[in-house]
Amino acid sequence: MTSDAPMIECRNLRRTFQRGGPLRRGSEIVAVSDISFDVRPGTIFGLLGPNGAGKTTTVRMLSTLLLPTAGSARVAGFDVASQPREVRRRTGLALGGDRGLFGRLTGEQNLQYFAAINHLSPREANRRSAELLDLVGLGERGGSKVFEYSRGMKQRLHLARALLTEPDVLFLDEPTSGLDPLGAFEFRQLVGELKERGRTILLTTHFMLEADELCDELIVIDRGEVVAQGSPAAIKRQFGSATVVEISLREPREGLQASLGELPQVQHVEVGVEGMLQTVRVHIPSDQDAGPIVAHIGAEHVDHMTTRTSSLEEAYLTLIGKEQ
Amino acid sequence: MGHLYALQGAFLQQWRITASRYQILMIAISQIPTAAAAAWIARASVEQGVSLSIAIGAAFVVVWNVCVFRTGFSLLDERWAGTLELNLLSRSPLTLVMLGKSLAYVVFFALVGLLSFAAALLVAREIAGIEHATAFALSLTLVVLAVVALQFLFAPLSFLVGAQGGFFNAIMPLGVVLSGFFYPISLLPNWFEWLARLLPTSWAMEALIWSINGKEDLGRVALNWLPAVGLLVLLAVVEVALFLRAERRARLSGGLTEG
Repeated sequence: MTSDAPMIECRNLRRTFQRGGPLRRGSEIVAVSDISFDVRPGTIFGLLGPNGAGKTTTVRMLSTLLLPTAGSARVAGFDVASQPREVRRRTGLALGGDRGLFGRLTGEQNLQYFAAINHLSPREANRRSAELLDLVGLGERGGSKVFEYSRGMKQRLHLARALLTEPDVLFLDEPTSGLDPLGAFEFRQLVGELKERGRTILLTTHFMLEADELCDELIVIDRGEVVAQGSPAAIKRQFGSATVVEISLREPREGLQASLGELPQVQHVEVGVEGMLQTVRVHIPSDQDAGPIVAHIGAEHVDHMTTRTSSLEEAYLTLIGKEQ
Repeated sequence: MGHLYALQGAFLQQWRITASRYQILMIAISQIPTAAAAAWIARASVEQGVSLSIAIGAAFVVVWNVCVFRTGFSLLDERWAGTLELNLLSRSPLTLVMLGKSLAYVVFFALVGLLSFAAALLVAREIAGIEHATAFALSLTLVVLAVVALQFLFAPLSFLVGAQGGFFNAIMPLGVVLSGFFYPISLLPNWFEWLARLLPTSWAMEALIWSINGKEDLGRVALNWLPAVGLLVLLAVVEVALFLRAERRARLSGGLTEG
């Protein structure tokens, strides 16, 4: 592999499942449909999408756990379908969650096991386990049984396990799912450090903030298809309704969401309650004025109003809203 | 060398999870009465060396009954725990990793089997001599290998067919009967003996019994080793093929994880 060749290449990747299982003839479920993307070495690439979009299925294909139904993918220069062993040697996978670890063993014993089955000698396994437990902040809890760990600690142990063989490519599947804000922040910092050390990272998430903060490039997947691709800034520019008008009302009004949604310049409306006041959040193109919105609601009903540029999350919601 | 580390690591991981005083106690309570009863019945026999072969058979019954069940569910347990995918991503074949875990079961429950052995000898109150010591040692080794190989078959098999409730309730006693742990399989009805002859355990146990009681000469004992070894090799080939099939099916269907 040359230094500028993509570390991950996907071409028209497709994965279907038989409804009712492999032994029953049922209709087909298309989990991933015709996905293509490249990941440059030393970057963080995001797969962003709602639950069930096909992110984890894509990661499982790239990590060789699932065979693609059609299309091809190469990781670190090797084909995932025909050269799985070579791919596995060069990749690490952190699926996260409460499963995938032996609860009755300590954190250190878990790492020693996974090190052994990846051909590290006992001495090297001990050294590497201790080093990685320190790296992920579990140095003092390595001797505790995993069933005593918090969710955040388990996520960190998953990451340590994925790093045992010093892989060129790291797959992280929703690594901060279930973590509290502080835990998620610390984890994201860790991921950033790994990128600084030259790793190529493919990360799946449904947290827009996380994708915005971490990813150099990303694709947005919805129902198995790519609906947007590019850097977070490019996606925001392309798909974001650049202005968000937030209005708090003096008294609640019924039917606002439906009536505002009929205005031609309105892309998306959310109605909620903050404190004692009903709030309306309206997304409009950046070249549009908020005047018609206020006129429709009635200026006498407005308690206060702010406008701001949209976040990636709002661009994403607009994007998904367009597709549905 | 890497594969040896994998085997060793898998053995150690499973040992750490399995080995406990509670396990010893529970298995001993369930298995020792059977061994004692068999030894009690054997006391009435005038055959030389019956008590010793019953006692050894009792130990293997423990290993067989417990390990075929544990090993049989091992792949399904790993899938439920979410660790099967990670085992699959290891640098050693899944077969080798699961073999390491199966060996941990066999070694640990062999220790429990020794309790059955001791209980049977206590009840029999007789320790007979062994007619052909070297043949005995080799036959014993073959029985151990045969039990390991036979119970290991059920790991990929139950993963592929989906072990339903009660599956192992049928396999366990059938294995005991057909393997001849408590009696020579030549005592079985003809059609049943033919079925037993398909197992390496039956040939190896028969050789073991003959080496204790001296009923057959060394040449006849050694002749039994050939089919035992041949069936062992065949079992190993089948098991590797089944594991590869299980892996391929899981990669095609996405059945590596539950939920």
